[in-house]
Amino acid sequence: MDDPQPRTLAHLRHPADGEMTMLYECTLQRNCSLTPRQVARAYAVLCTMSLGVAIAFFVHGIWIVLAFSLLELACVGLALLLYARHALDRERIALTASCLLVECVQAEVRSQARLDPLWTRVLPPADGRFSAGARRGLITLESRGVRIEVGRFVNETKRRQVARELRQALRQISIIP
Amino acid sequence: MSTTAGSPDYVHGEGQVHGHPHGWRRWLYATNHKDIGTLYLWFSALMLVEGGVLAMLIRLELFRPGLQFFRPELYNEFVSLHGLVMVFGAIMPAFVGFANWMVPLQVGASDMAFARMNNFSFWLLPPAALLLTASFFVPGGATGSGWTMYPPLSLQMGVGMDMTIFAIHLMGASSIMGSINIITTILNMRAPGMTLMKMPMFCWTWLITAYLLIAVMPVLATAVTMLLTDRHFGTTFFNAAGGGDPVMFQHVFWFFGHPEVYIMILPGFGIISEVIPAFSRKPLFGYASMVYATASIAIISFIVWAHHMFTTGMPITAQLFFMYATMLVAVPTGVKVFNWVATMWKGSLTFEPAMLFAVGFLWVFTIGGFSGLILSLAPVDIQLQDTYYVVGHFHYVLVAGSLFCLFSGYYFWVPKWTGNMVNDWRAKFHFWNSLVWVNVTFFPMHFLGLAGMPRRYADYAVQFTDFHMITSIGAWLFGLSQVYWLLFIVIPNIRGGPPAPPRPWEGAEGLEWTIPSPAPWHTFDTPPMVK
Repeated sequence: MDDPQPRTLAHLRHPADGEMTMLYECTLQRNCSLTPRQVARAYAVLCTMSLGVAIAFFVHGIWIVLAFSLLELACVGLALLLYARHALDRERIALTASCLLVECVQAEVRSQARLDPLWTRVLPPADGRFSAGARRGLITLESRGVRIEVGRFVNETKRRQVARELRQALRQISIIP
Repeated sequence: MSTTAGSPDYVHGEGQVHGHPHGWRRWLYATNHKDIGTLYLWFSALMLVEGGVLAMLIRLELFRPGLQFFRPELYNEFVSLHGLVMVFGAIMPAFVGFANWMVPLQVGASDMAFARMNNFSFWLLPPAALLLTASFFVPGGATGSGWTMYPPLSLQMGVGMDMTIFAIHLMGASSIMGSINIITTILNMRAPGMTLMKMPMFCWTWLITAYLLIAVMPVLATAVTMLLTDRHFGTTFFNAAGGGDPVMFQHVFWFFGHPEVYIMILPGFGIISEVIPAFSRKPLFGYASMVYATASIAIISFIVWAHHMFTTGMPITAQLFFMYATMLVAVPTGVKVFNWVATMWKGSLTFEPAMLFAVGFLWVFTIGGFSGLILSLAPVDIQLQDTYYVVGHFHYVLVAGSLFCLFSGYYFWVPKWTGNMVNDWRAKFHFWNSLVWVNVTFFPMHFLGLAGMPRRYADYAVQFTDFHMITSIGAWLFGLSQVYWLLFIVIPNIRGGPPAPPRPWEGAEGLEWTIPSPAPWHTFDTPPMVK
């Protein structure tokens, strides 16, 4: 899990005047110190060691080492794959005057939702008692009957912080003339 | 070594969860790395007691020449189970326990990568221990073929041998799962900014050990599976009558067995590399060379296995190769020893119990290392093979080496585990007794070996009596010192004691010292930044 970042009020393109004011933006993702490519390299080193030993025994007629080695490396590979598949999982919340964009990437599957910021309410983890996400302590965003849960990659303290900041940013919109 | 940009702020109650399971469910369903670490440590302490009791019985029998208490077959069972219990039940799980407790705290991770697999890998151990222990009570008794399980003797044992084979399979599976968890945690879950070359040495040594474990465990599984099929399924891999070769078992076993020796000492090197800088108030001398030396030891461990079998007959060129390769181990090991000494050089040294054990380790492990160097010489080894010289050597490495590392690590990190400081006087009493009696026990074994006393004998010629008596007295007092540790240090420390601050040792560096003592239930939910 990571600190929600970056949180900016940077200027982006706007359909009307060529620039769109980004009122709030944050990316929520878990901490992963190696990219999947680097993990693959570490796994290759491990396979080289283990298979090197196993093939040497195989050449000398003791094939069972290779069988055990393959079984074991399959388990390690599966474990690393499971971890790597979700290593780049993240959620991105971006708020402009006209759109609240919630983007979620899980196991390389990207889903996106665009909510109307004027009609969006933010239910912090403890408030949304009736949603499944709230039971898991997630932030629930509700807009015109659409319900989206965010914050699955950060801890509760950070979720509350994000919920507070997002509410504040949404309030800013309502006072924009 | 790494430093943190800022310690995480633990406000009142944060990090402690009130809804976590209590009672037996907390331990049976444990997924928290600290709980699982505690389970591993208690398991290994229990196994240490079991292996220790067996050692005391062995020394009781050997106190005087002649058969006093046990049949030679039962004596052989004691010797075999003592080795198996200590290697697979006590030392290896103890280091895994340390890894479970400390690796996530040192890399700034919230837990191990696969928490449920972590639970499973621990809970494979008690059934394995039960199988080993229960094998004493089945017809034919436990295996008497030594921890090495050499055929043809192991092919002739009763059902106790099968129980041992299954126990080893279970413990091997547990070790593999533990290694997968450690590799994934260290590679993927390090705090932002903690590059590999900023990692604490304990994590480095465990990462290399886990790679080593993954590489050699299939070889152990193969050796014991082939034994099993020879015993029950009509194969003759190791049966000369059927065209097999018992010596092949030795090659397969020691291809696992020698790296196993390093599996039992490398994490200990990591502990010493944490303790010495802390109490020298200096960074570790030659950090990068320490990492490379550890990796070199691991790599060389693959090409030295046949030095355990010089007397089985091999070409002279092979003898020379294994002799020189074995000598080569002294180079990276020497780098480590010199780096530890250089770390202490001109340091502001204080001798708290953890440091005492670390310095004690340096001395006694070096003795074990040098006797290993002597044994690496093929002509000398042929004279000393299977004598008490070898027993003395590997006990210096494993008891005075690995066990002293574990004690050093215990005294270093126990304030973080229990939140209480250890009674200094008692800990020092434990150290001095351990240091004196370990030498009284194992040093005379070298003289016994040089005089020709063979190992794994329940009886001996009368000229060996004096040294055996000294060894037995030393062993009992060493054993009592460990009972003292368990009853008068470990248990009182869990029950209470002076509260430990987050960083009880002035010179200690690393993420684990930025959190309160005892470590809260949840730590590093948000990874810290490392500079």
